[in-house]
Amino acid sequence: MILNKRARFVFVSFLLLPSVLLVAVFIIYPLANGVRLSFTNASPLRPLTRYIGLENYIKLLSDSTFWEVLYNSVLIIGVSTALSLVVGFLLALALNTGLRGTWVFRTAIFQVWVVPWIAATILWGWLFNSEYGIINYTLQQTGLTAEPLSWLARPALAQLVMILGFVWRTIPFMMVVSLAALQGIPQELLEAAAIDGASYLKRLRFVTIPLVRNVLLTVGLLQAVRMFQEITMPWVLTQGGPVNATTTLSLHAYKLAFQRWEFGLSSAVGTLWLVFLLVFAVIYMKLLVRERE
Amino acid sequence: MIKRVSSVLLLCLIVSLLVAAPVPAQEEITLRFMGWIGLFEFYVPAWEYMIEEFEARHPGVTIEYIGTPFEETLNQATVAILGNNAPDIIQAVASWTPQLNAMGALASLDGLIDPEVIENTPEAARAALTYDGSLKALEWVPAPIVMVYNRNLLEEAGLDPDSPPQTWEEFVDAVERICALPAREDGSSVFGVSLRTARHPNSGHWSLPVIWGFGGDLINEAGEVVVDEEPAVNAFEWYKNVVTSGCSPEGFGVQESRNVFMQGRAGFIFEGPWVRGLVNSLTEGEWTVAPDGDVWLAPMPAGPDGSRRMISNSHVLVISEQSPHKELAAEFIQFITTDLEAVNQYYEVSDQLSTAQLDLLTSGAMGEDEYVQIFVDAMANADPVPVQHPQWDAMADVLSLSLQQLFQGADTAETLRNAASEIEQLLAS
Repeated sequence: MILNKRARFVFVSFLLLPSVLLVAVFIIYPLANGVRLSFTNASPLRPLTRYIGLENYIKLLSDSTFWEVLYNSVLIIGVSTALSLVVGFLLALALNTGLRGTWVFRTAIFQVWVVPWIAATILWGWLFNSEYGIINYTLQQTGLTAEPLSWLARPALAQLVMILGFVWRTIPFMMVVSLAALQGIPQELLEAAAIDGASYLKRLRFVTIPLVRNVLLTVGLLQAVRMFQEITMPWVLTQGGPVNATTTLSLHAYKLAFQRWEFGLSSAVGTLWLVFLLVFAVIYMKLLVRERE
Repeated sequence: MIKRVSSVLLLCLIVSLLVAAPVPAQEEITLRFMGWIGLFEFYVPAWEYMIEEFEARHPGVTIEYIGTPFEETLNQATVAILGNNAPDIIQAVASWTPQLNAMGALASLDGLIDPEVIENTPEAARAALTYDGSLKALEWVPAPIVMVYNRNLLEEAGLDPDSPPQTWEEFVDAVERICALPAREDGSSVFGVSLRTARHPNSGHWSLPVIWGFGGDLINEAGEVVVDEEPAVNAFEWYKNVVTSGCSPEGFGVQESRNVFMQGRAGFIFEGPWVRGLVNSLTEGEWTVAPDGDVWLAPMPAGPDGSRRMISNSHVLVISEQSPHKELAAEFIQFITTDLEAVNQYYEVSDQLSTAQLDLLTSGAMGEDEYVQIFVDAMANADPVPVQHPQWDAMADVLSLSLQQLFQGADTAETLRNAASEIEQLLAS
């Protein structure tokens, strides 16, 4: 049966309607409502909600804590993404060599990805506990440190613990995606380069990496966005401390909403965070696209 | 004629029978109770008794329990209230009531709860839970915080475990002496006191007894923020020194600070009536909580003016303003707080105070329990709602942030000036 243009449009619209409705109800409405709330003084503690223009934004942008939190977020998530990307790719390269038994390693490392964030975070807290954590125990037993380190009580150390936690949790996904990208490279290209006398490192630099680069950068971006949303690790491990060293944007928004009950201010954080990620993503993708061209 | 009258009478009889025939169905009422009591396996027998007994006494009434973890209950209740779906009764912590009250979520208990039942609760708690002259919550499980100490460590440090510190000066001295004890066999150090110092409002809340102990306050009676005045500065200076000198662990939350104490590595800890159960479970029954045991308790040390003001983490019961069954909800609250069997069963499973009714606390099994009586004595000076302001939690968070800034080396006076300014803004918000 051949449909005319109008009937085809109606038919396609009908098929698309459920998805459009779902997106509208669960994504567009909450997003738009969040932006709307950011221009109000909404709080369950106030009987009336009124529009206050840009007041929340002015308050946030003139608050040193917000900038501190933004800097911490970029530092923790930026370093975590870069590290997990590099380590995940190196592991994928190792697994792609065709050595026997690598499937065991691949399965084992992917288990980490399956572990819920909350379980991973509690485990991380035990490992780095200053009084009875195995990390301090090992460091002291091997003579690397004389005194136990206060991992979660010193700003720089706590940030390091957070980064290592994010990296540990993210490596498996990076590895699996990298491995899929590596396995998609036509073998003829690598063989031709080898016949032309290119060493392993040169093949890696001039053939492999350029071919998987876009996949890696895209998955890096997705993971960075995912980590920006992550609240479990900073909340359970350090509650954002010491001071504000591990308070990320998501945790800051959570605290404003559910400790201070300032829904409007919290929404403003969410909106600024959205704008920040959009700008970052556009710049990131522009660089990617330019490279493609 | 007779036939006609008979017919009319018969008709009337049939009509009246038809009208009267359907027995009106007894009204079915469901009372919704939100809280964490039923989530703890060991509380379940007592909780089930309360529900079953109340339902048996009130045919047609069903208690629907909505289990929420302790730390999630305030958020869950807030969401339910904002969604106009509030449960009839909420189990809460006393310090949550300013927020819930500011949301207009709490029904006045005056006129709902028997005045005798209200009068039978501690005066300090009643005052703390009264908003604009109206009682908004009934204390259920009183939880004044007391000084818990490791008798063995006190003895090892040359202190008399039968005479624990009575003043803050004596307490500070005892902390230093215990902290000076040599490391344990496994190389771990000994802390004088295990304080809560994590980046969490709870740490700020629990710093109040220290501020009070040094003669300071957060907000004075005139409503002025005085946390930057000398006594409070001295209190935070002590906090800073005790942590940075290694006499209290740094960055520890509730659980970690308890673990250190239960490992026998801290002389003192501040805890509530749940500490006996904690000692039993965390030391797997190895330690005893008794005047001549491993662990015992004493009132908080007295401040410079001799007062022993302390915080209280009391569990309270509130009736939702949205509840369509307020009278029945009040009856249930009265039942679980005053029924002797309910109270006794709850005491047995919880191993702590199970009601705030003073006559029940001082008689029967609880009356004979020396442990319970220490808390009963402490109740007179306990403050379950230190600041009756909806932003109290945010203020406690400011204090916890200040503590952490001090541990990183910040100047105490300046840090508290900033804290005072932030708390003033919160008070005005």
